[in-house]
Amino acid sequence: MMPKRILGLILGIVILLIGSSRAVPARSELQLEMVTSPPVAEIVPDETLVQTQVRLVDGTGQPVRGAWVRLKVDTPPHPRLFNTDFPWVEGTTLVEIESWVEDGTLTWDMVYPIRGKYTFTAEVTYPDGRQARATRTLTVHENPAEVRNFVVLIGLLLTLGLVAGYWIGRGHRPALAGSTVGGLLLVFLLITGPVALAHGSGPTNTTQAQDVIHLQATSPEAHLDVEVSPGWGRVGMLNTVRVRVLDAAGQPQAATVQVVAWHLEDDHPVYTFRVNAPEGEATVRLQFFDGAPHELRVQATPAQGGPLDVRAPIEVEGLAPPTWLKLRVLALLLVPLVLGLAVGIQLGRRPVRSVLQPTTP
Amino acid sequence: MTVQHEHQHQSQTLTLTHHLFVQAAIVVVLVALVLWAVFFTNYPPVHDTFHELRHSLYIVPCH
Repeated sequence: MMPKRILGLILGIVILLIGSSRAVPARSELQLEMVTSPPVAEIVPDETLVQTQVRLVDGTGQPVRGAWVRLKVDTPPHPRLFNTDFPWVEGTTLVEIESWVEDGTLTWDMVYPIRGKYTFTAEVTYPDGRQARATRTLTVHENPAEVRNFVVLIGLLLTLGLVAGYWIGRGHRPALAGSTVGGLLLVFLLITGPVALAHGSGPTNTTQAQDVIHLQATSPEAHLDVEVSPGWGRVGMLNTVRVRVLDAAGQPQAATVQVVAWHLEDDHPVYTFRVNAPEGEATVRLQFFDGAPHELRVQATPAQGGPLDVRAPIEVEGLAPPTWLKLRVLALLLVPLVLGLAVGIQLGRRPVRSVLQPTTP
Repeated sequence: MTVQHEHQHQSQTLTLTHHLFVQAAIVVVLVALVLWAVFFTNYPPVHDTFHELRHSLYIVPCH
């Protein structure tokens, strides 16, 4: 009996220890609350510039005040069947922001490139060294117009299959010669080259682009130093923007920093970050998700002196989708055509009954 | 003899190409070629022409 009691006692102590260790998790005392403008339901991927605000709330329900925050936004993972129009963006990191948070909020503007569930991960480091981490997701729905267009395309392919199948089933054979010539002409279009600069210009040879771009601006009161690494973009890849603000004596000085990525072809911003830099340094990592020329615009407003601006063009390399993905989508698009053909052939092979045909009594 | 052989060969080819399944397969291949050319070719003039169309069709990947 005694060994059993001792064993039970030890077991109880172990359970108590495990339970108590779970009761004070150091990393769960942080919550993320998210507000978007416009509301999530109105966000159109690759179109709407969305003001996203993340509110950091501690375990007592109070906003996190006075702490370093590192926020990461990951794009939705690869869909199982129906991919998006930016396959290289799926399952990548879109944004990383490091900022000093004074009022418990982090606000920036961003275009969400694709539909799906985005993951926001925040790591907070308090001045006393404590750390906390929290994750939150946000689901962006597909553009209804894209869904409608896709349904129309499927309908067209189904109809085409039905008509062609019926035609074939009735014994009318399409002119093979014409079809063959048409096919050969289309094969010509299949010539593949080094892609895929969808917008006409871009770094066909990325070695020509600068590995790192250094930008500087100076006023009597302050000096702005910006480093963009790499100095060119590629869909799916993060670019790091490091900003340093110095005073006239060359010492770091507090500033607020705004980093804007401007889509030159569409002439609108795709990112606008506003970051507090109490020690004169700020870092933002962002992904140029569209293979088109952009311009990076950085403005720093130091504690002493007027704002300083720098700009730099960023060429972004577009990548063609992988061949296996193209083949999979092609196969999906051919499904309604084949179904239509099968039904059409069956309909065409049925004997046609004339309404004028006399019936035997 | 040679003329007769060629005639038989031509009629066999015609029979084959007039076969129902071959006709259906030709339709599928032709449509697949058109879809590939419009949606997936990297040939810049074609690719750029249909750029917006690809981005408006839900599952058609662009870049």
